[in-house]
Amino acid sequence: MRGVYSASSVMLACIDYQALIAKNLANANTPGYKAERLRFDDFETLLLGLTAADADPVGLGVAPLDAPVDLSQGPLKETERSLDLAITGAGFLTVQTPDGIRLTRDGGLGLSETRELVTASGYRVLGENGPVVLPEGDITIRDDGAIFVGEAQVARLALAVVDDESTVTKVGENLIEATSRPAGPGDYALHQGYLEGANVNLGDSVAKMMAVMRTFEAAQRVVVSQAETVDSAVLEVGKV
Amino acid sequence: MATPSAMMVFRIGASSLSAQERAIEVISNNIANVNTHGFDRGRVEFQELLAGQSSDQEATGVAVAAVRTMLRQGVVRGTGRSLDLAIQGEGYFQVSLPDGTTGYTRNGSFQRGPGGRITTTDGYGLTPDLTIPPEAQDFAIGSDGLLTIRTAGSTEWVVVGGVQVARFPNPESLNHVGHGVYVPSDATGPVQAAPPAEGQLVPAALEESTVEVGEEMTDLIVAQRIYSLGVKVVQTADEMQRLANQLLG
Repeated sequence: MRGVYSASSVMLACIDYQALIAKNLANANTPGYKAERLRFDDFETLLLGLTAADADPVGLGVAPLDAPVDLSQGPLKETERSLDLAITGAGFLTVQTPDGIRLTRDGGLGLSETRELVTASGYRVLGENGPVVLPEGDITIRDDGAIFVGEAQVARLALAVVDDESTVTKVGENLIEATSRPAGPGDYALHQGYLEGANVNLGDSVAKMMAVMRTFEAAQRVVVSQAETVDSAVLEVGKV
Repeated sequence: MATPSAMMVFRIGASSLSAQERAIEVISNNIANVNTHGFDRGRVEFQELLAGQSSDQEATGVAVAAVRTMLRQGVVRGTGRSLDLAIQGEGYFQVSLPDGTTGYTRNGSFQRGPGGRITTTDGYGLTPDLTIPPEAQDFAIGSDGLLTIRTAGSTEWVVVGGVQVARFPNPESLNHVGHGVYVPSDATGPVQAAPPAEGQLVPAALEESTVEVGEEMTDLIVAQRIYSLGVKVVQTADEMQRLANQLLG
């Protein structure tokens, strides 16, 4: 009976993995998107669990990772738009939401109806002195986050650095929640007129999706054959 | 946490299909307007979507947060036609749409409509209304936006009205409704219309579309590639569901 349990937990784990891969693929064109990490070495261990007689069925499933989100750098793409910002290095823009301050790498910023600097979903982006209001004029954003309109500096963006990657939680709308500290000089550079692309590797993701699919299929066969074994055993016993 | 189900994978794949469909629609519209004077290209802004964050509680994966109008000055080219006007820098001409609302356009290819009324090529009149009186033998629109006329036998030019230029706090959130005409959204902010500043209008010239076909084709290829991966995700989810269903038999 144990084999049935472990094979079916592998099936459930495969669905979890597939959902993560699907999410990465769906966001391959989302600016500043950070990929969900898949612990594939563990996945292979999981696969071994299918055949191991002493596998612990309860322990199977996708184990939580120490750093569930891959914060590595995405590629920069030139857009020539003055409110597009790409970040290189470890910095994140800080954003005010109804639930508190969140972080983002999506630098496709815009203005609100009152010319406050906001994200694509309308949350205020924070400067060192709170929300940033931009008067009309030519906007220049320096690599350290200082914002100039014409010749005058109007604000400086407040960037943050993630303290502990294990605390990173995605909250949707390209925002993350994490324990963080203010970024220092050298932690980041801003690039005006660029956007950071998603750090999703398409080819690798597709290959993993297919591998997970085949594993799911194998686990399903194990469940079917073991169930048949149990069935026939019950019949045999009944004959006695 | 709910029991994982292949339906989850399905929904993520579906969200990707609908987001990329929207992107392809916006790119197609950009390409269709490559010759529309005063047209600014649209750009889709994608966002990660978690379950429960949209009106469809079960939708998850990716969503389109907004379509941004990318403000870029197009090339201003002289046409020598007295009813052509181009705007240098920010600003829009105001036109009255058939439904009674005001539309905004940078397409300054104007016509002399019935009764001498100045209209766009679609027949929308300017706001405020501007009419060339029937007694005018000659007329001109200056870089200050003023319409001046000269009557037969006179050498004097008389001002009969003026073109106004509208501005918004956040013009990137204007929505394109066709032929280079835009309407405001919730995030555009209050309109401010005023006579044009010195040098803001270029008479007898038109602003070309800012669409670059090469850029659109690149974006289209990316969108189509991600769309086809979305199809693959949906097929995989379907296959997993089929295998799982066999266990029910």
